[in-house]
Amino acid sequence: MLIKDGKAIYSPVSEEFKEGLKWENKLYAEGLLDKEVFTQDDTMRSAKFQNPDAPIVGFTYQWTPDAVFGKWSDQYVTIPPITGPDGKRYTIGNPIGMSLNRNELLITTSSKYPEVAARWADQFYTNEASIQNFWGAIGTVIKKNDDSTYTLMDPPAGTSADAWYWDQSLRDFGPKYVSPSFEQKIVLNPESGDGLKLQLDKLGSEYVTEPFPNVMYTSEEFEELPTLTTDIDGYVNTMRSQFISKGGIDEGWEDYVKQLNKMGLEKLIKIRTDAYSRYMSVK
Amino acid sequence: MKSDPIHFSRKFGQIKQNWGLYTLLFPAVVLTLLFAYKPMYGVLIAFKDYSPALGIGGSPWAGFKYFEKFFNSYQFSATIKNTLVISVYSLITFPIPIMLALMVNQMRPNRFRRFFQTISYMPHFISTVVMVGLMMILFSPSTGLLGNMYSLFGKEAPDLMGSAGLFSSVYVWSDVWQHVGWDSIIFIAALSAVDPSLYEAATVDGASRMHKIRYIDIPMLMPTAITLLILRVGGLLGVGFEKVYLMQNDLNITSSEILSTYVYKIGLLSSQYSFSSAINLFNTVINFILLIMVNQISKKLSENSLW
Repeated sequence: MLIKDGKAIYSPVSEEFKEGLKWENKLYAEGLLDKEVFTQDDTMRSAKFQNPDAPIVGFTYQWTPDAVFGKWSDQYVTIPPITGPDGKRYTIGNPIGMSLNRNELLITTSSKYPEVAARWADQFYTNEASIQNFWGAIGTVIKKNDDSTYTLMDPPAGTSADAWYWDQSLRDFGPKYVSPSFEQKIVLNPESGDGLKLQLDKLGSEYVTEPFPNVMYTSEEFEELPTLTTDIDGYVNTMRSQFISKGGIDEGWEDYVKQLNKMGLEKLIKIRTDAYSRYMSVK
Repeated sequence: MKSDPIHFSRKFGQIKQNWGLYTLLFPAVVLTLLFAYKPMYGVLIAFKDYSPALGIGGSPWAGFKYFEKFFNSYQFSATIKNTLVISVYSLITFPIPIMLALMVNQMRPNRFRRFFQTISYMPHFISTVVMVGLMMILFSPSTGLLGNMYSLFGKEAPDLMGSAGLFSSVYVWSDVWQHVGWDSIIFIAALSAVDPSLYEAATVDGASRMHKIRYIDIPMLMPTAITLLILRVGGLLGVGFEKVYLMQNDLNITSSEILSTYVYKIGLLSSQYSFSSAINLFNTVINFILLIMVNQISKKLSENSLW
């Protein structure tokens, strides 16, 4: 699901998606895509990335190089999103650069003192607590400097910065908020971890498609949704891998769309569109 | 029935007499009740709009809503078909351990026989995860053993793990390889219990090896084989979840999505507890009916049955 010109669209039935598949099919046929791309598991994939004798992967869509390529990470550079067949560049991501999530902290109904729990939870939203629960404790991961700026320490040898932060903090989860003025005080190393990500982000940020936001569903909608998405997303993945590995995109496209409609694609789009317009009309 | 005090007191007397045996039985009965019968209460959620906050008792009734939803779903015929194909295919391989047992039984009981037996049942102890990992590595068309063998002859290896058509074969034959030795143990045990005087009498009558297998070994194995076969049929729709799930990928999913993996995806990954319970309950009912049917057939035809 994407937002295009203010409307929610289901991208796997779009023309752009079809053209993308054709291109990937061409790469696959020419042997430029790994033949095992659909069958290998994560360990096999990372074994290829970190192949001991020589780097064997030429191009991949990935996280920061140090988190993926091990000892070969200095051989890889990040490039901006490539131009598609229609002359435009696309990449998935989040244009506002913020991840807004729900249900990060819950208070149980059996709590005797919910107000105390809420007061405790409030502490998570202070600046210093937030950065500690994103990277790690001050003194262990974060260094508080005398001029009241904050810098990140280097990860222990052999660990990637990312893996280290995940070990040390709640990272992507849990409540947090950092005020813009406080953000100025955080000094990140542009050559590793999150600082590097911010640098890399500049390469692609202007091409980011608008993602479908984290909307709220009614309980009736939510009852339908998981069955629809399990079936439809599963079918899209299956057909995607078949189209790429075996081709036949032009001939098979109509049946593919028909099958998706039979599985309730229209219902899925309606649920998502309704939820999206409710989400957008909230003031 | 009229109450019969004498009969009753005799029964009670029997229990009193064999109290030791009943004491030994007691833990097993308690375990069965606790772990097999008590959880059945949870089956109720298949007929309810289950919400964890309301609990099993508090959730509103939904009737057969979820069963209808499954019967009308796109996955219904696909998952049933895939489950049946895989399980009937594995059922056909049922005689293989029997053949192995007959073969081993013909060997002279020496060190080679013990060695052979150990080797053949060793793979049984490989865990499913490791087993599927091994298969992925061995069958990899680019770096695997199979891929290398094909490239020796300048050919490209078929992608066994990524082929929908070959999925059931890969699944069943790797299973046979892994478990044939283990499954044959019970038959070898049954064969070693055959009275040697039968063989001696057969030898006196001039029977050949093949005759002995045909007229002594196979009939002696029949009761064991039938019992195991009935149990296998009872689990016909219950193809092992782990191995199929681990072997699944986007390329073979059209023939590898079976009932249990679908239940897992719907129920645990998408939190549709009632829907997935309904699917699983349906699965269990079918299995139960099959079990009873096969048992009845075998009772009529061969006088071997579970009860």
